[in-house]
Amino acid sequence: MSAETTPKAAAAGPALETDALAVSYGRTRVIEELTLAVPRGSVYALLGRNGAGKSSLLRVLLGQRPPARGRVRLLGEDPWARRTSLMTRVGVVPEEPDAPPEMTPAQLSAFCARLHSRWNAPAVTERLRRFEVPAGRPFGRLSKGQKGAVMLALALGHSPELLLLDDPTLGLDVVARDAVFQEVIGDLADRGTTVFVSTHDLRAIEGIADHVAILHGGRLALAGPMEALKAERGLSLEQIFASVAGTRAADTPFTEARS
Amino acid sequence: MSKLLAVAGRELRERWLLFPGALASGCFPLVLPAFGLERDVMPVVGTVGAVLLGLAAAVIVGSSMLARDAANGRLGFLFSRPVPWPAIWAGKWAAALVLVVATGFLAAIPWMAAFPLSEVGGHHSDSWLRAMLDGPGAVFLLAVIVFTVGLANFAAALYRSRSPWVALDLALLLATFWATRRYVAPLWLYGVFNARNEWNMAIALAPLVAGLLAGSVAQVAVGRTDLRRAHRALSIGFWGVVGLTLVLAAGYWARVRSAGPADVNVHGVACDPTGRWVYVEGRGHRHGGWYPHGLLIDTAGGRYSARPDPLLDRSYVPFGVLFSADGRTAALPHDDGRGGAIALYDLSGSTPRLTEVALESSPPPTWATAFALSPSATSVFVVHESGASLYALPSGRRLATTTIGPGWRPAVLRFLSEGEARAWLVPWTEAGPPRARAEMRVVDLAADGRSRASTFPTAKAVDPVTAWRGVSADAAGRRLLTRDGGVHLRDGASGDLVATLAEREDWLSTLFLADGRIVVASGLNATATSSPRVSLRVYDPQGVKLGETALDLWPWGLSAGPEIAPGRVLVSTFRTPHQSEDTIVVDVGELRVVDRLSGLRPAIGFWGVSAVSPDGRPTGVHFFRDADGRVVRFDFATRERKIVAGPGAPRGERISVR
Repeated sequence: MSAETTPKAAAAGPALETDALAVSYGRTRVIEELTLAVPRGSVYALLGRNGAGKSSLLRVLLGQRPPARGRVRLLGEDPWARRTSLMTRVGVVPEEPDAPPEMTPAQLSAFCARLHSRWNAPAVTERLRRFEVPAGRPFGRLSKGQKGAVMLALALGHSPELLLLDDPTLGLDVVARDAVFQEVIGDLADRGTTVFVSTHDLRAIEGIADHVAILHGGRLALAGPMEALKAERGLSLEQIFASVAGTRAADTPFTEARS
Repeated sequence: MSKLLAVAGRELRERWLLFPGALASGCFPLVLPAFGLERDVMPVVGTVGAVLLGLAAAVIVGSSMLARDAANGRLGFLFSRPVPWPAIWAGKWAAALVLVVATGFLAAIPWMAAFPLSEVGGHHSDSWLRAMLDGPGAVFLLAVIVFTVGLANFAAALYRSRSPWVALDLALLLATFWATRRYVAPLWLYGVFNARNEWNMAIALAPLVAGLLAGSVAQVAVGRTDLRRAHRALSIGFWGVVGLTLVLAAGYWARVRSAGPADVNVHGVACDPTGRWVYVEGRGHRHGGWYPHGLLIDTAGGRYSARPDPLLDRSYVPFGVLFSADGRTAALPHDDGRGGAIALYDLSGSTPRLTEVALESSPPPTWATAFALSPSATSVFVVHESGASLYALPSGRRLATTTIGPGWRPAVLRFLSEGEARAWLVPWTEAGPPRARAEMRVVDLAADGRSRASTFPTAKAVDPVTAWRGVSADAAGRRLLTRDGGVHLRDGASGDLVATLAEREDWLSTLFLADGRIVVASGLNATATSSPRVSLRVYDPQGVKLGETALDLWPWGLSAGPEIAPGRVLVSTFRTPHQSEDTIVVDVGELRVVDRLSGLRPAIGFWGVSAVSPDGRPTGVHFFRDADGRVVRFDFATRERKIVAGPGAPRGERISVR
């Protein structure tokens, strides 16, 4: 825990918080002056066009790179300095499934059990069964939807307080997409997990997110409670996104550049 | 630890096929006899195969363990879980080392089992395992493995990141080569590092291994899943350690080279005829190694200048320094990388000035090369194994040259006049056929191109080295003393025998006086007499004996000379380097001891240069060594003693002469 954060304050504050955050790759600034707060227990959707900086933000949130400027707090702690302890409380589903390809889902679950002090292997097995993922097939030979399902199951295996989803439904068919979000909703219903999801899938997220933020050109263009924003403007989420970002996110091929 | 093991276990599981592959390839040497090869070839092929397979495994594992996983996003799987970076780093490295070592071992097991060490006359209790794990070889092998894995990881990060930092890496690589040659190579070459030989290679790899390990720590700790950031961190970590090593080496090398007169254990001394400037050469007693410190010291004020660094990749020959007759010019022969060269010091101004003179078409000087400076320092005479040449100074232009047949080496050189020089050569069996008779050769060369050479017979010398080192000539080059079964006075131009001055070779030392007389000091065999004695005889210029006296000296290392005043000669002996000896002054006219310098003996000059005073006159200032190795300047007119080099010498001011 960082020196400036007390456990009490951490428990009371937002699940995720950024203050004047800037992220850059060399001289290229991809996020500028981003200030947002994700309330605990909420489902927070981060929307943005390709290259808006969503994945870069998630890397900073996961402590995989430091911010160029500003402050980040995840469950009250600095993710760059306290990554290891934070990851016991955070679940992650990356945009590209990154599990070792030679390991089967069962082996991956066993591997993660050695890394987490609390690991609910039966729950993981049950989720895999629900997703109809063959537990004995190497991860590299699973379909894209099955890989996503495995990653989601592994992300939820230690009952995280915060779930970070980086475009989890990208490339999935409608059935698989629904399964992912149903699982998230199910977990929310179970334990009140905070979910921070970056997505292009406006229609699917509109039904489950209670907060939304739109990144445009590396800056926060809009943020607030979903229903309040919609009521205030008299528009659907898709229309709000189009008016702020200038296009429908779902129509844009996802080719966000990784630096 | 459990997380480290989990990471390592996953790495091993991913590459488990290496193990059976290595074991299978280890069986390859076993089938060689089926193809008609000798059974004895098995251990050789097996060893080479196991080493190559191990290195290949190191390259494969090293190039994939971090950079590949970062490039394909797989490193994020570990970083998004509660695994501390040290566990990720150590787990991956531990797995890599296990994989490489196990691959090598497994590839060796089959043929080692089939071919016990005892069958090839091994030792180490006839066990391959003991032989492999024994001593510095195992440490070196481990260093090579870590180095290869680390280097492969660095190369993979470099390749996969494709960042502009790659250009910086390449620039730093070139800079490292340059700095290593300039600062690290001399430390090894001159033995400043006294590492035992068998550890040398492991020690040489140590900074690189440490740099690669430090770099990979930074790669994981700072770079994490970002490939470019990881490459940058790796690069900074590696070059940081390498740079620090080079800075330390450069600092130490600068310290070695900063030795002043007080820091040198002097082994050779050359002084100008006026006694003001002295050149000393020796090893630094507090600065390590055998780097040849050469210092040109102004004894008037203690200022000194260090000689240019000798070339690293050439054998160093201590030629010392030649002075002109007026002491205003000093010439230091050396190898400038292209051939013979002279560092020419102008000592006439308030601060010496150095001019580097490349001698035109001169081969690199060797231990068989000799130099002489003309009295006015307008030319230099160089004789080597295959030729003799006169060069103009300071241009370095070759004025004249003549060839010398194989099998000769120069013994003594003299200038007969400013434009004419003479060299006496002795047989050199290393470079020519054995000779049927004992002989010497004299070569004259003039600046206008005239040359003359003739061979003359001598008596057979007891010792060829003595015959070579024992030749002396008067300052004008007209007469010659040879040590061939005694001491013979000869005509300098023809080699014709003039007189026999001694018929034995026991403890002899000879000296031409400025007025032409000759002094021969000889020792009586100490074991044959109860009291060790030295006999000193004086001859006129034609070799007619003028007188003889006995001196109460030990004969070992007997030395007569130089002449410090008309007719007054120093006589000294030398038993051990660390024993104090007295030097006596003998008046050869009166044949009596007139002075005794307690605890001093004349400083030793340099081989390969003609260090005699160019005009042959006696000089009233001489340099001595005491038992502590200090060089002492002694002025016979004022009897002033001044320590100029060695422990206790003034620190002096180091001056730049360029």
